[in-house]
Amino acid sequence: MDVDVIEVRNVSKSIGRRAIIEDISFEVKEGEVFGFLGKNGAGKSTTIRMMTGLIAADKGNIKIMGHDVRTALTKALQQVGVIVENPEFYLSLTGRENLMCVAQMYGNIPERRIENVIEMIGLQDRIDDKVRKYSLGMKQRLGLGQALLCDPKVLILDEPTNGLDPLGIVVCREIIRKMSKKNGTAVFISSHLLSEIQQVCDRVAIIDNGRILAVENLDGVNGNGVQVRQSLENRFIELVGGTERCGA
Amino acid sequence: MWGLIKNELLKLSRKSKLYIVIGFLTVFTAIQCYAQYVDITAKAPEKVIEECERLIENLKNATVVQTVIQTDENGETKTTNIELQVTDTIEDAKREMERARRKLERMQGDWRENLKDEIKSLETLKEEAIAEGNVTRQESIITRINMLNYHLERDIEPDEEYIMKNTVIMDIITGLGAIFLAIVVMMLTVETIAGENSSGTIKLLLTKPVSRSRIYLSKFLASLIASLGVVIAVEAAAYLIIGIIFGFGNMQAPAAIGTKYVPDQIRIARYGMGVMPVLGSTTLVPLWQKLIIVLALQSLFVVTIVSLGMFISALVKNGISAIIFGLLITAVLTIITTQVEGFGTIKAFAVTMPFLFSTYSAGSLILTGYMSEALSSTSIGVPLAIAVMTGWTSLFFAAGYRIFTKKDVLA
Repeated sequence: MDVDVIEVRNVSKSIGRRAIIEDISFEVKEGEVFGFLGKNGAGKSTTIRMMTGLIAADKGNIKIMGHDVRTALTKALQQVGVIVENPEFYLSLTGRENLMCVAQMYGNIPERRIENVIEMIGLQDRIDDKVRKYSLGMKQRLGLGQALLCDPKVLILDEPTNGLDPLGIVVCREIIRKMSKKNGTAVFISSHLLSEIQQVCDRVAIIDNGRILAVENLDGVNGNGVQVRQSLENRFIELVGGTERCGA
Repeated sequence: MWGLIKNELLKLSRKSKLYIVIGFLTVFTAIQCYAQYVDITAKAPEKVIEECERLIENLKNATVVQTVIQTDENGETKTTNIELQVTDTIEDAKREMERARRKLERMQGDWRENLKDEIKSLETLKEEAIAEGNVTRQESIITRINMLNYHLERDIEPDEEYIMKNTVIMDIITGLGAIFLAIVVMMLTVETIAGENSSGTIKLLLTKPVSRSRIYLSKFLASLIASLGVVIAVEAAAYLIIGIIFGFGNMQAPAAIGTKYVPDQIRIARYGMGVMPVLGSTTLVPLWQKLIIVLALQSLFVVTIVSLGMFISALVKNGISAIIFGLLITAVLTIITTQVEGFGTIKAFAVTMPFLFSTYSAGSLILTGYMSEALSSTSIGVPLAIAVMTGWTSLFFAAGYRIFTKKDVLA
């Protein structure tokens, strides 16, 4: 359980002259659900984009499954499921065709796996409709399906419950728990919602202005939800929002 | 790789623009066929006789009156009506009718004898051209004589000139290349990356275990397959449909290609530039062979436009600007190419256009020497066409590839 499947070491990124990410480091272990908590614009998406090879880090290393994303991106992403910001689809294709396009890119995903995933996300009835006709919640579930196709060892989710209805949120949470506990999948979840992070995560990194302010362990105190929630909220405000809250 | 290409083709197959392009090409080709039909049949002897008869009938009882206003020395204006003689026009029409009748009679006779007669009269015309010192005319007469001899030597009966046959496909391909080919291929290509930027699906594509070079290559190949597929399919359909309706022409018939040009000192002295053909440099090949060369050049041109489209697609941020930018560039290039006779008289264009890929959009304009004459160029030909198009393709491909594989995706 303590193999590092994601390793981020001293990573920095500037876009133009603005430093977006400054010297962040963390690691995620096998089977761990890791929260990435921060305000909008704190640098969460930029970090995920660097982890998945969409943008290149200026400094530092990122390794996934032991492969450096700069030099061996395709190996690093072989068993990674990702949703960056909103899940995106080819709207004029059906749900199934969208999944098949993704499966094609992983190369070795059997037909049966696609059926399993469709069942897992509960879209059996609408899977052959064009995605254009899907509701936001259905799109969110299909996005999760795309991320689950490769039976991931690493799941990287950017605001996964955004737009989901209460039932969808529960399903999503169940899938995340199941993946981490039964399959040993490491799950990296970015969010600006305290409750979301607090309910599923084992550990949480708090990011603000491109710096990681703290990495908190939520293990062990999970028995008392209210207490954890209270403590995480206080900690977050103490680290990030304190000045704004009092300064007004 | 084939899997990735299939993905791209699936996405393209659901875009309405594909069907707009196919419809557009079909309509354009049909219009071209009709124009060819009108053009070809209008010169048929029967038609000429009919026209002349009608003209004579109309003029027989007509008087054409011209009104002339004159001012005399006293400053008074005087209006007079003059009745014009129409007998000259009638005589002309009668002569033309007679020529058409003779032609019609000849059509009944042995084609070999007819060709021999025609060669004889061409020889006379050649003497005249030599006396005039008109090299361009000489070369075209020599080529015509060689063509007729080709028919005689190989015992290939020529297709009747005034009857539509599917060999007009050559002219249809030329028209397509000169006017719409670049725009059509650009439409099918230019959104492939930029469009995924707009929709955000680029993130879906690039966070999978496939390298960006393979994605670029698969998009390139898919656009190429789609473009060539659509264009060749429409051309093949035109070939077959015209063949079925009007008859299949003889593809063994000779076609003139490869005329070489040298600087024409007289024209250079007069206009600053000019070329004339090298006497006897035109060679004859069977029509099917010319068609293959034309199709090969057309394919290479499609490759060039696809690589340009990919470059634009990698460069700009969203689908709409890609379309606007791509269509603007191709429209400008197409206008310059179709107006080559005008632009060719401007030194700056005449010098640069042989190095522009758009000059080679229609292969048969290169093979027949049309472009060489229009641009006063001695170097235009198949080798330069291949070199220029390959050069631009490499440049666009390398630039687009570099941008795509290096850029940060912030969309």
